[in-house]
Amino acid sequence: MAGEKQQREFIEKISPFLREKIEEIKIKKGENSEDYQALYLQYAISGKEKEQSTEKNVRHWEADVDIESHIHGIERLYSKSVVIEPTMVCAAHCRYCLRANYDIFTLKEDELINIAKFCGSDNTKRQVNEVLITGGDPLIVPKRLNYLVEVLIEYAPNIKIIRIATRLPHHDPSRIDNNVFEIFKKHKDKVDFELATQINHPAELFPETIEIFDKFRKMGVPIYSQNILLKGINDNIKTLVCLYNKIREIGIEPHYLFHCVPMRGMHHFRTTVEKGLRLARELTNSGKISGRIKPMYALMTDIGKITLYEGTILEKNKERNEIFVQSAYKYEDRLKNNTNWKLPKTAEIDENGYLRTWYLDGED
Amino acid sequence: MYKLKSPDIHASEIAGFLNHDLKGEDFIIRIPSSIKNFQDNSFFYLLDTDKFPIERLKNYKNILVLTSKNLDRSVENFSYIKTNSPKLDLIRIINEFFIEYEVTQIASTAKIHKDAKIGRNVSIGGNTVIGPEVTIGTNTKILNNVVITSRVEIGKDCIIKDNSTIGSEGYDFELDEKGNPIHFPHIGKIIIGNNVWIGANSSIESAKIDNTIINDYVKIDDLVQIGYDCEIGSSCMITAGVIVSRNVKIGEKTLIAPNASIRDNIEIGKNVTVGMGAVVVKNIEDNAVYVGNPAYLLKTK
Repeated sequence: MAGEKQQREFIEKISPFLREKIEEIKIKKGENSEDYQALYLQYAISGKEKEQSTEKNVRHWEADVDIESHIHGIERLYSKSVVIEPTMVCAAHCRYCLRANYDIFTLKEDELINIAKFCGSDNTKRQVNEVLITGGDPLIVPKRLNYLVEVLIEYAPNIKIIRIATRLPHHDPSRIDNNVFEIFKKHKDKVDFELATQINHPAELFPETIEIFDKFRKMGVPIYSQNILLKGINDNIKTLVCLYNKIREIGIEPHYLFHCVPMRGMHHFRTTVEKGLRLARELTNSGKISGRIKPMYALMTDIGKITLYEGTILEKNKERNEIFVQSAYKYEDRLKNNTNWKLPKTAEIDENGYLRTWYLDGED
Repeated sequence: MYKLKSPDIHASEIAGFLNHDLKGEDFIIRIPSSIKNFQDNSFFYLLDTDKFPIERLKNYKNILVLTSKNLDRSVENFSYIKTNSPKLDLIRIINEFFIEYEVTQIASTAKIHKDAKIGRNVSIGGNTVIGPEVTIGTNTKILNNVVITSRVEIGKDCIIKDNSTIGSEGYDFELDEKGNPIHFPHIGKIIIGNNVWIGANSSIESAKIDNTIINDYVKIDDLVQIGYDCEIGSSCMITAGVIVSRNVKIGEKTLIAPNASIRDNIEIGKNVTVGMGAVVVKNIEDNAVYVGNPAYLLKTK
C-alpha cells in the first residue's frame, strides 16, 4: 500500500461520547452494576490482555487477496462476497476486536479503484455479487467511503449488494451526519445497501444510537447485528434475552452470535463453546424471544465462519482444550476464490474434499 | 455548500487516515486552526518557510501540527504528524472530518428544460436555468442563479458557482457591405471536463462552430471571461478578473494571475505563470513566467 505503515499498538481508545455514557451509568447505577461493567469491560484496557494464555493468533484468519502489487484492505474467503477494509481506524477500540493486530491504514483513491476493478474483473464477477465494507469503521471517513461506493458502481456493476459494517452508532452517533446518510440515499438506485452492526449488551443501546438506527431504517436500509458472546458481559440467558428483545424492538435483524474468537489478549472474554451452545439453545428454543430474532451461533475458525449444527463438532481434545469442527467449505473452492489462500496448520481436508479444523475452546 | 462541524476526533485517527505516525500523545481535536490563531484542541499546518511557534504553543493544550519537519517536543502540549504535504493533508482532513456538505437537491425555483440530461446526484440551486441541450455529469453541484444554455456538456464532480453563465452567445460580428456588424451564430459546443470549478459571475462563451473546451481539473475563479473557441488545458488555474479572448489555447497546469488579459488567437504553453495584470499579446512557450504590459519573459522555470 501507499504511504508509511504503522505497526499497530492496540491502545485504549474510548470516544468522548462513550466516556460520558460510561460515567453517567457509573453515577446512576454504580460500578458493580451489570450495565456499567458491560460497557467498561468492552472498552477499558485490562491487565488480563497481557496474561499468558493458549490464545496465540494475531489474526482471525488469513484471506488477503493479492492484486498486482500487494495492497491492504481486501480479503476473500467465500464464494459470493469480498471483504473491503477502506480504513482500519475506529472512533473507539473494542478490546475483543478481530482486527486489533492489523496495521493501521486508510486506502487512497487509487487503491480503492484497484479494489473496485478487482471486484469487477472477469474472474471475480462470475461469482461475487456483494461486498462487505468493514474495517476499522468505514463511516468515520464518509468521503472516502462514498468514493469507494462510486468506483464499485463504475467498475464492478456485478456488485448488487453493499453491506457496510459499523459501530459508530455506539461509539459516537453525532458523527453520523448528512455526509453519511447521503451515501446511502444517492446510490440506492444502483445498489442495495445493508448496515451491519454489533450490539453485545442492551446498555449499548443509547437513545442517540437508537435514533441513528431509526434514521437508517426510515431510509429503507436494513440493519442487522452480529454479536459476540463475551464472558462477564452477556454470557447469561437473562441478558441475552433482554438484548435480543430490544434489538427486535428497534427493528434490527439478527445475524450471528459468535463465540469469542481465539486470539491473543482475549482469553478473559472467552467462555467454552459448550456454554455458548447451552445459551443459544435456551435463547432460541424457549419462546423467550421472537422467532424473527433468533441468531445463528457460530465460530470464527481458521478456515472461516462455522455455524454450529448437530454433528458439527467431531471431536474434543481435552488436553489441548480444542474441538475439531466440520465445515462444508471445499478446499478446491477456496483456492478458486482466492489463489493466495493456504490451508492453515490447524485444518485438514476430509475424504470428500471438505475442510475441517481444530478450534481452541475457551474456559468458563 | 457546506457547514463547519466540530466532532471529537482522536489525533491518532487523523494519523491513521493519513497513513502516518502520530508523534506525541493522543488527544481529542475539534477544530482546524491556523499558525496565526490556534486554539486548544485544534490542528494547523506548518510550512517549511514557517517558524515553529513553540513559545506561543506553551499557552495552549492539545495542538496537533502537520509538518514536514522533525519538531522539538520539549514542550509536550502538542503532537505532530510528519508529512510531505502538510497543507494538502490539512485540506483532506477538513474535507473528511470537519465539513458537513449540503444535501443534494434540485431547488424548486430552478428551471430545467425537460430535454436536459441531468446525471445522478446533481445539485441545482435556486433560480438556475438549464437549457435543453445541456448534459450534466454525476455529482456536479450547480449553485444559484446560474445560466447554462446552448450546447453544453459538463462532466462529473464539477462546481459551478453562483451567477455564472455557461453558453453565453459568443461575441463575434462580421461587418456587412454597409459596415454594420452582423452576428455569427455560435452553433458549437462547450465541453467541460471532470472536477472543474467555475467561479461566481464568470462567463464561458459557446463556440462558433467547433468547441470551447475546459479540460479536467481546471479551476476558474470568480469574475473570469473565457471567450469562444478557447481550450483551457487540464489543471490550469485562471484567477479572478482574468479576460481570455477568443480562440486562445492554454496548456496544462498553467496559472494566470488576477486581472491578466490574453489577446485572441494566442497559444500559451504548459506550466506557464502569467503575472498579475499582465497583457499577453503573443504566444508563450512552456515553463515560462511572463509579466507586465505587454507581457515579457521574466524567467523560465
